[in-house]
Amino acid sequence: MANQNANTYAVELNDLSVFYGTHQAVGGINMKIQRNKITAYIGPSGCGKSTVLRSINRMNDLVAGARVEGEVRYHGNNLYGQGIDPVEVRRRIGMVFQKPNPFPKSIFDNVAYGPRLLGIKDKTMLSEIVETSLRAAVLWDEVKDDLKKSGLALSGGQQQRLCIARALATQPDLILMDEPCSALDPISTLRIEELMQELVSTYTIILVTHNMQQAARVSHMTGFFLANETRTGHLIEYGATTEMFTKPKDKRTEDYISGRFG
Amino acid sequence: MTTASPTVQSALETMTKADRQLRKRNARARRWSAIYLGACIFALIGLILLFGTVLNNMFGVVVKTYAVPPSQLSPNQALENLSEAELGAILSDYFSKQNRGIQRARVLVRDNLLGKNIDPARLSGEPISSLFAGRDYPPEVAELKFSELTVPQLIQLLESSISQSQLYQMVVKDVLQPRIPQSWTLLEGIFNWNRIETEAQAKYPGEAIMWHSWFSWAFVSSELTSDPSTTGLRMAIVGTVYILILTVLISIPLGIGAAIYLEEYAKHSRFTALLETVIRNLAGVPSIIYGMLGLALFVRALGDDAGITNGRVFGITDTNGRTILSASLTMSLLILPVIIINSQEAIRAVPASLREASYGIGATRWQTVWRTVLPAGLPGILTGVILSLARAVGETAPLLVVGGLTFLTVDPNSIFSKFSVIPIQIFSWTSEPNPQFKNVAAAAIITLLGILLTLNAAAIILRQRYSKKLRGA
Repeated sequence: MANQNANTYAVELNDLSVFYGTHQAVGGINMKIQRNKITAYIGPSGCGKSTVLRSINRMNDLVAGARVEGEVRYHGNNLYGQGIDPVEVRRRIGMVFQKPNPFPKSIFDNVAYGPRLLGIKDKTMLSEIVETSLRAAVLWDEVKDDLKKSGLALSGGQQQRLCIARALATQPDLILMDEPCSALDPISTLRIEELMQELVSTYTIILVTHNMQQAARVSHMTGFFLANETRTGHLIEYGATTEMFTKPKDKRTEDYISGRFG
Repeated sequence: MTTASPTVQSALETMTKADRQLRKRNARARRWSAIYLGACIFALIGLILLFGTVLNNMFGVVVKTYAVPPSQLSPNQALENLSEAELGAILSDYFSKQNRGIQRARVLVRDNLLGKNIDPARLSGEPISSLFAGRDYPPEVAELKFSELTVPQLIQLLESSISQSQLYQMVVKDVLQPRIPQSWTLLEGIFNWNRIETEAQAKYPGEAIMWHSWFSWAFVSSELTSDPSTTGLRMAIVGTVYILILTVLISIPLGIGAAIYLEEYAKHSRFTALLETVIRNLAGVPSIIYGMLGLALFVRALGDDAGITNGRVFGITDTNGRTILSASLTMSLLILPVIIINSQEAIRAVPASLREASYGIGATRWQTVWRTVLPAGLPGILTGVILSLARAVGETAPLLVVGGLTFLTVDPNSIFSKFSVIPIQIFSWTSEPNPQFKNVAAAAIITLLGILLTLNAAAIILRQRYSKKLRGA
């Protein structure tokens, strides 16, 4: 049974709560993220969906005063258990941020950043990783002649694909995307969405988005989050995207999806 | 409109009134912009006055007198165009007539050809053929010893080994012995040339007055003397460069390290808040107080008592604690707060998104600092560092307290040497009674300003080049 779980689910959140100082940002999250699927987190601003996402690769550890209760199980291991190094966690779980944030370095150095952190110095090995990652992020054909060019010289959409390539270079199997298209134009957004569809055959993707059409277009599973009166976020409903958008079980989900608030 | 509440009504009235006063408001804006312009003009005038005063003292009119006039030595030709043989003849003629002239000639040969530090036993014991092995010398002196040489033979040795221009310098220094008994400033020269001419004719009959720049390569490269017409800044420049380099080596790693710790590692606590307040206040402490600290800590405790800054533990015994090392440590303390604050600002200005990106890929804190934060913050850090170094170069007070000398006879040659720096020389020259030292001080000021401008220009160029690289242009 445990074995089967490990095969079907990439991540399991068990009764997860996150606190910033004394304020509880999210509480009581239970969720099983399926492998090789895109799971979208939707909900109004301040509902805690980014907080949940960031607790999966322990990025919240970097926030002073942040505290996590409950379990995040990844390959059966509790990421908040003893002897788990957050640095190792972040290498295995890639992250793409809201605003494209390439380093002020060349395209090559951007993608090679992760492998170099791990001590890979061999030039041919690095070149191979860079090419594979850029190909996987469908950026290779556009930049292969300009690998020495600064990552900042690319367009916004290209920068975001560069960031995806950079995340892929450390060979993660789970990619967290925190509103990856919110700073992009519709055409770039479309390309990123297509890219997600391609990546999902090899990777598991969790996507936070403000854009419900995007969730409906690309995701297989959707979780709807909502904050209560004390501004603590809860998971209201979680299920297959098609069902969520056609016949939501919860009244609040229906209200949000039909645009009555948020 | 009729339904507007009383508050809205009164607001509307105020606005209408304000419209009517538009001309008044514009006039006020113009007045303020005139005041700002005035401030800029005031600053500009100050700057022009400053440079004007310095240049007025640095250039001027002088009377030059000679022990032997150049026209007497070479009636038909300019002295500097004479051949080596002719210059040699002048020297040998002069030294032969001069009481103790032969000693001077020996010193010239020894210092220029054999080196000041040659073993006296070799000098008195070996024949010329072995002292000058592998060099040109007239064959007839080969078997003679150094002390047996006559003046013409000594000068012949000089002629065969050194250049015409070096010979010329020797003639100027030893034979002509130019002196400047009186000088006038640039403005006096421009507006009162005739008055100066009559005055000079009355006091120094037969001597011409001429334009003169007190700043010259000779001034920059000569050693300190007590005569304003021949003194130079070399020892002070060497001292300044020594202290600058050592200060860089000490303060940059410490300053940037402290900034990295405070920004990237330290948890925000009362202790770090206190630490930052202390650092900020230290940046404003008068420099003389750092001088007192340097005197007590580096000169006395670590120097005279512990024997570290005076080099005793390294086997150097001829110094006290007033060394280049003590001065550099004091200067480092002085500029550390400024470097820390500037580096902190620069590190803080690195976008959080870059740190997140680095951590998100699985970088440790150290890797994030070293590979992302520092490179991105480097332009700002460099600017801060270079500007604070420029401040250190110009500081006088702390080094006076720590023991900067106003007169040195040898170049500093190690970090345990006694030292002088350019600002201390300026300070000492401006307090001399001889008015010509004011001219010399002006030339030293120009040298110092030149060094400062070079440092600032370096800061600007480095920052431009680096931030261009970061932007990806």
